[in-house]
Amino acid sequence: MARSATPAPELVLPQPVTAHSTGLVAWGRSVLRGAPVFSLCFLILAIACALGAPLLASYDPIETNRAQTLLPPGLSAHLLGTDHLGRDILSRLVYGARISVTVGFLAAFVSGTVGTLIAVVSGVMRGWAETVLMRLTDAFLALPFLMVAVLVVSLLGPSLVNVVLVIGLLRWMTYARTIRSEVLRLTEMDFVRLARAAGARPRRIIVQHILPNIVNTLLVLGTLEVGSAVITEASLSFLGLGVPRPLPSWGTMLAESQTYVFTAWWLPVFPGIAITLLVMASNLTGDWLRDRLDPTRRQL
Amino acid sequence: MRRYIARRVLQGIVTIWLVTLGVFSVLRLTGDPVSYMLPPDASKEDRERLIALYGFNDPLWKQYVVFNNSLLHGRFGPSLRWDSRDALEVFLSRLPATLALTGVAMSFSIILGVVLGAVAATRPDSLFDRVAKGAAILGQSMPVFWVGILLILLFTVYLEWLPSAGGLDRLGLKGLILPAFTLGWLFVAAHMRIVRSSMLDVLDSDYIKMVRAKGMPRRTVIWKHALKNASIPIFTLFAVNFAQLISGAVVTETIFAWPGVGRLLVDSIFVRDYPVAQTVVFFAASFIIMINIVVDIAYAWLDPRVRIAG
Amino acid sequence: MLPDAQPASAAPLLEVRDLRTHIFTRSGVVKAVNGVSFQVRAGETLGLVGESGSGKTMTCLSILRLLPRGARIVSGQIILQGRELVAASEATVERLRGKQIGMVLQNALAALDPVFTIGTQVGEPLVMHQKMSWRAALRRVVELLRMVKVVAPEIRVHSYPHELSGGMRQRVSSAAAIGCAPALLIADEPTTALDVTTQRQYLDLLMELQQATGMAIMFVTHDISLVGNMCDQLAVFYGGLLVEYGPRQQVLSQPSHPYTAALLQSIPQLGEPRERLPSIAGEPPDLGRLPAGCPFHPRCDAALDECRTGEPPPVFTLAQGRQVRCWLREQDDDRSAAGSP
Repeated sequence: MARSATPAPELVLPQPVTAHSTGLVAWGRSVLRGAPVFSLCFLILAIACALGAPLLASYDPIETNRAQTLLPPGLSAHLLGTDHLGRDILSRLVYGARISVTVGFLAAFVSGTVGTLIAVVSGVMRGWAETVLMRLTDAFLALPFLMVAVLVVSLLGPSLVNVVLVIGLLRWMTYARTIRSEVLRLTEMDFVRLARAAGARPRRIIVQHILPNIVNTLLVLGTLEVGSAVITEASLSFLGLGVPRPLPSWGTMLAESQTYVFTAWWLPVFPGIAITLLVMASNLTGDWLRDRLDPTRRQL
Repeated sequence: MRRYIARRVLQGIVTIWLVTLGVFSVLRLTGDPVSYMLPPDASKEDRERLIALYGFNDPLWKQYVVFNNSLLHGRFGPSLRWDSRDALEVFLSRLPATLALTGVAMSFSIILGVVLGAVAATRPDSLFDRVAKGAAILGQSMPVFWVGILLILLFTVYLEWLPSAGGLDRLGLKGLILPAFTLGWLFVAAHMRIVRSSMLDVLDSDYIKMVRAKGMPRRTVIWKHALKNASIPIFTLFAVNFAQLISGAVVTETIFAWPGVGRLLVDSIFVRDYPVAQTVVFFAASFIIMINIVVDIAYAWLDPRVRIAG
Repeated sequence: MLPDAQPASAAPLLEVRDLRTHIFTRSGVVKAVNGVSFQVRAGETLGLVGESGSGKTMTCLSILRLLPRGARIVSGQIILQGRELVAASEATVERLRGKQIGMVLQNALAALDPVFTIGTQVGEPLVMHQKMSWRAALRRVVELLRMVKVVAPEIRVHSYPHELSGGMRQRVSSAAAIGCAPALLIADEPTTALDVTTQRQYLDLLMELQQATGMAIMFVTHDISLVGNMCDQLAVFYGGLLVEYGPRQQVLSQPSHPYTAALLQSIPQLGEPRERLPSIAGEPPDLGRLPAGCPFHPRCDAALDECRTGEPPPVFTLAQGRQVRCWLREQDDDRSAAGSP
């Protein structure tokens, strides 16, 4: 038995990595590995609505039409129904995407910039600058965010710009903390030490060595923050303190739907679905980016 | 341990001071505070009276000193809307409703989140687990106010089981169910995800292997050892979540017409009653800071390793 | 605490027969333990020697059924004091753990629960298995700590793991493992994380404990120089297989497997001048992609043709109860048929 030529039992060998596709397809396939397809598509859809709203929407979102109020959704002219002023829900959703996407991305950009600035300064400069900035971060983190936003927007007056600024300037703390620990970690690394030993000045170190390494983290955080910015804008608009009235923010649509909730269920349901989907898409994409760009991170 | 407490409290006081600075500046530096606080048709005498009352014509540093002084004496200014009442009094009268709401919402969300997370972690990749994960993502993406409206749609409009507006006084506990669930839902999802992820790590650890090697039954392994270790992240994130809780309370109270401080803020802003609005924001921020401190201290008690690191 | 003296022909305390434990991962099956058989007698010390990933730890975990996710015993038998364990229920095995078998792990800090005191952790099995009250258990814990030479045990009972030094933690871990006077102690690389002096102290402690309690020890290590005086029997692991097994003296002085010989050669001897430390050429096998035939053949100087093909060599029984898995020893086989099924 021992010396017979029976071959060893078949091992279940791991599948070899496909190495045969070439060019663009291969690059695309490797970049998009494991991507949350639906989320990405929805994000693209939302951006498309934002950019091309007039082309995609069939009706004017602001013009009222007394004859067609509160039509339920159906396969007729108004796919998702109309609201209490006769405006087509679907078109308002499309135009609303414009607002949500704009606010979401701009606010994430603003807070990302501020947060990074603070993080880099405190991480590289250290000393009292770091202590002051960290205390400031703690103070801002302690703020009841929506309350302060409500207060500030009411003082400044509701407008798109104000909303973006308020959200951006009140949400930078997450960036600041995470990026600061990244910066601290990087400055401890040998290649930064080498640069310092070679006499490079702080600004050069920052630009050449640190910034490129935190781009990944920024990208992940930014994507995740878009979702939270969208919800905040919707909350503000819901309370009447976001973008001004006639503009079709999804939050405003939800606020207006409250009075009619007993008779027209489609008024609250569809804008809410839109918000949820956009937030979910940004969260899932952010998670995926985080896994792709830094596989050592644990997924929560 | 005591030094740690002292240090934390000191940090908290500094932070509160920074917040008061912020509250002070926000009103006075964003344009003309007097016009904000008065209706457009106010008479000249009203303007003069307001300016005299708040000292808006004084130099900024003097205003700040007066402001701090008033704060330390517990004087938050008179409410502009309810003429005979102090802003502080108005605030305090509405506080219990919010405390009840947020307390119930947070408690139930922690309990439910921990249990669901632990169960999901012990059955990874099962149907339960996948449903739970999906529900968690959904729960964190749905805006709080939409959840509220949907619940109203379901339970008040269609099923007619639960009321949608009122408060504890008028409706009793029944009126608390929908708002508490709306507010807590987001946190159930968050807590569940945290506990699940944390439990999975803990269950793979060497010390859990050792506990099993000592012959401890499964339920002791999971509910005594694993859970205690896995719950630690909830506390780290509790403080952050708390700030979100307050924000959520603002919208929840608005939808359900709950007579708490969140709605008070929104109402007072719409009638330009800034002393009251300011008071609400100040107390909310201070409360959050206090919760932060308490949580840090509890965390140090729970995980002895933190006391040294501080 | 001494059990009755066991006559040499009595049934062994633990018998492992053709154990196979596989790990099922997304990229394939890892044959961590691929047909291992050995015995441990009461009061005896068995040394399990081999490189990391050779199967020794997974064998121990299989005995206690503490396998990581995705790992499973696919065949074989484990018989402890006459009871078969592989087919036994989880509840049966739970009752044995801590009571009949104790375990000590390599990294003692990771092995102790950070949020409970030493007293709680060492006392837990006492309360569980011996139904003591906590007060009685804590008294016993102090005794146990004293037995493992922890200084000031009455104070240490209230300490947390991170407050102790590495050596102390390892001793505390051991106290927890022997609390209920198990018949068998499995020590998985207990000294690897310790410095040399502490290592020595700990090994001495182990031997003392064994003298005092009469328990058997399975001592797992990758460092063959440690088995020196401690072990009665030696089991050498490679590639998921037990390649050599026998009384320690003889295995060390006359190794019958090329791998054992190579291991012994690579131990640096103090005082002897050498230019280069001899090491075994090549690398340990990837257990997910084992070569055909004997797993050691890529690194073996004496490999024959049959070593490279087919099944790994079966167990050949040599004189004096020694066993080896090597085609080179086929002629020395005492029995006519291969030893293991």
